[in-house]
Amino acid sequence: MKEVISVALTGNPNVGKTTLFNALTGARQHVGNWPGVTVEKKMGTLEYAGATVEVTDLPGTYSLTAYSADEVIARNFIIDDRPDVVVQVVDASNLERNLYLTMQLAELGRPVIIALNMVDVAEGRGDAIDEKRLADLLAMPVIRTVGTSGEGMAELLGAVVDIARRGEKHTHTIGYGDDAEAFISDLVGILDDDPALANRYPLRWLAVRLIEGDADVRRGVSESSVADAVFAKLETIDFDEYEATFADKRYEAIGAILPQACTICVRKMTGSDMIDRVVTNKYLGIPIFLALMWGAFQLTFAVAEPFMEGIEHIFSWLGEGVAESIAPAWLASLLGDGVIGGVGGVLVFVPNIFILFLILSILEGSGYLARGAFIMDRLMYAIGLPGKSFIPMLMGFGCNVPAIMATRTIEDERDRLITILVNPFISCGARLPVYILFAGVFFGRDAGNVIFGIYVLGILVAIFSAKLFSSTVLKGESSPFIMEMPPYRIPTLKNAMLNMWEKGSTYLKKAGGIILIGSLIVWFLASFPVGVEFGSAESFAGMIGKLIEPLVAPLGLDWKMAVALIFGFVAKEIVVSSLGVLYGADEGSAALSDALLADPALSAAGALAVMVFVLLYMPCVATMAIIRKETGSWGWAGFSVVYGLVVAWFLAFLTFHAAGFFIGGP
Amino acid sequence: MSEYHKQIFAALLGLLYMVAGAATFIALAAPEIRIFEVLGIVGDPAGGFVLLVIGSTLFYGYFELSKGIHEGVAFLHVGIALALVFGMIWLLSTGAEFVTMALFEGEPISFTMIREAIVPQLYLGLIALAGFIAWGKEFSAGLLRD
Repeated sequence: MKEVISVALTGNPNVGKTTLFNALTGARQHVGNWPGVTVEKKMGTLEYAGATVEVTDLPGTYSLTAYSADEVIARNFIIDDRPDVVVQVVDASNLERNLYLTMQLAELGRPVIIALNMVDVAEGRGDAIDEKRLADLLAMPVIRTVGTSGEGMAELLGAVVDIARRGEKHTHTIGYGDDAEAFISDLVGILDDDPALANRYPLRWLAVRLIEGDADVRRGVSESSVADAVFAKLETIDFDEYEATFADKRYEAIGAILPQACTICVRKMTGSDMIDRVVTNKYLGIPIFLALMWGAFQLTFAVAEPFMEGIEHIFSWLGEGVAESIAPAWLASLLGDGVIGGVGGVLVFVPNIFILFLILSILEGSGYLARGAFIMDRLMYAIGLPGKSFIPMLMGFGCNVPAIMATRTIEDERDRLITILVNPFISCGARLPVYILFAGVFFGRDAGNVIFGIYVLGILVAIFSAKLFSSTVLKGESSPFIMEMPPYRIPTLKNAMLNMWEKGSTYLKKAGGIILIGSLIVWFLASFPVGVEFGSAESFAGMIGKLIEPLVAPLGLDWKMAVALIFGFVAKEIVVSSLGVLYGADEGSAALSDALLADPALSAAGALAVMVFVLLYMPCVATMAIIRKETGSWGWAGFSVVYGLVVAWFLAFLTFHAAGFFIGGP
Repeated sequence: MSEYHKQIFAALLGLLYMVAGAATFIALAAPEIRIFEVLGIVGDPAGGFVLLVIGSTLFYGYFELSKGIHEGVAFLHVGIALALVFGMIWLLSTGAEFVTMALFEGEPISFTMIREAIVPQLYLGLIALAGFIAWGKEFSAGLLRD
């Protein structure tokens, strides 16, 4: 019978495992330049030195702690399937982080080989790695490889076959200090009494995992005959403290190995390191993040002003032209009040949208937004929330639909559901025109501050809603967040402009589609039945608005605002276009601004209440549809609508009365 | 230039930003104190917050450098970068305001308006620019380019 050698290919995400797998087996698996390309294990075979080598490419994992589904797959394969050899693919240009997994693999008692990959990148950068010294210090073979060129594949296979034939297991592990070692030893003694456990797991590894509070391992041990004794022993310790101590010891060991094996690895801080040291600082990280976000909104509002004025002048000229030259009167009203008043009222905000997307593109391209997620994660995790959800939340500043789709990367179903439900509170670009209109009219030079405050309110409501859900209807434990920080880059204007156009152009398409249709419907409702004054309380729009007015009156709003808010459910920009139609603002947003300012029913406090209500009140139709799709339930989509409406009403009510107290009501 | 120069620069500029930030909040709390107006400081919570953030970043750098922690230079560099970014934001915002006034509102731009536009974010930003000229290359050398 032919000799079969099973090999597990493991390592951190994005270290080139799949490239190495393809180079070894001749397979054509998809390779990407970002973490998480391999989400399940893949197998391939080859013949070498008279043996059949079965290679399994495992999902990338930073540790064997098994927080996510990918990590569980990787760990369980090594423990349950017991491959003859474990090959850890290590990114030579990032040794310190990669060796953490090595320290944990060493405890599994399996034969381990290090494939020192991307050596070309490390050496090109000036690193000098002594792989022989590294092999001595780790007590495992270290083979230099370059997956893309196939360099080192024969040596790697040679080492695999050699170590498998010798049946040599790795026996060197690091010490965790006298107290911890005594505890590990006691626990191993108890675990050893159950032959089923002793046969399945390396007992020292099992004890370490139990002391570190590994939930998956605890579940496994709970069915054992020694479970009671094990858990009684574990009751006496603080898991977090031990986990931190063990991590420190592993990094201590790495810190001792690295300077001996890599003479230029301990390098001078790069620009990226420097920036990270400051922007992720415990005290300064969040203030810097808030200051930069405020700067972005200030710039969005201020720099767009001359462009907005220019567009307003164009629509003003168009409106006058239509009124003077088109007959019959109803057609002039349709084009002037319906199309120009509605769509024009929204198009005037295109400069703001584009400038905001340009700034966000620059921040994203530079790598800073990823740090934003990291900084906020600490805050979110501190109050027991899923940290990973901050990335979809950041995406929500553009549009909530792709942001909700992005929650697919969150492994835990409960965390994912919470993230989906709170995402509509993150203010998308479609809501910006409403804020700019009302803040510009009622708050003048402070408009930028007011808009920034609205965005912050959205984030706060999302965070506190998540906390509420996680402690009531969706109880459970959140998984910790591990994220690889991309290096900082100086973004090119070309890439930033392309990114801005990609996102901003959808706004233009909406203006020519759904916003135009919405404006025409509002025009129709404001014009009929025949004979009524356009946009009056006797029109269909007025009748609908009057019906709902009692609900919004406590928020300082009248029937016109009620109609605009109803149509805003289709798309949030329609709030502005509806107001443009209802106020008969066929000369662009300048006329609408004047009309709003002149409306005795509206005040600065009421304007704040409108902004808060629009921020929170309900997801638009497209967002609701995606919530239904992603949760697979109309119930959750309905819950999102009802919860949003309730929160919006109460906070708008509070805002109206508090603002009325401080800055004066109507 | 030596690390000592960086230390002094971080301390002085950090102090100036923090004083300006504090003065902005004082002007907000007590608008009748008009003494700060000469320096272009008016009550503005967001502006004051930004000034304090920049000042704290620079001062943090000074503390680390004074304790012999070489990596404290990172705070000096990022503080300078923040000062330049916010100086630029003010410059663009004011420029846009003047353009709007001149083109669409027919309002002439007076000397008083220009004087009022000279705020700490701008003139302290000029000092930061000097720091950027001196140490900017050292800072941006490690960044990748697309």
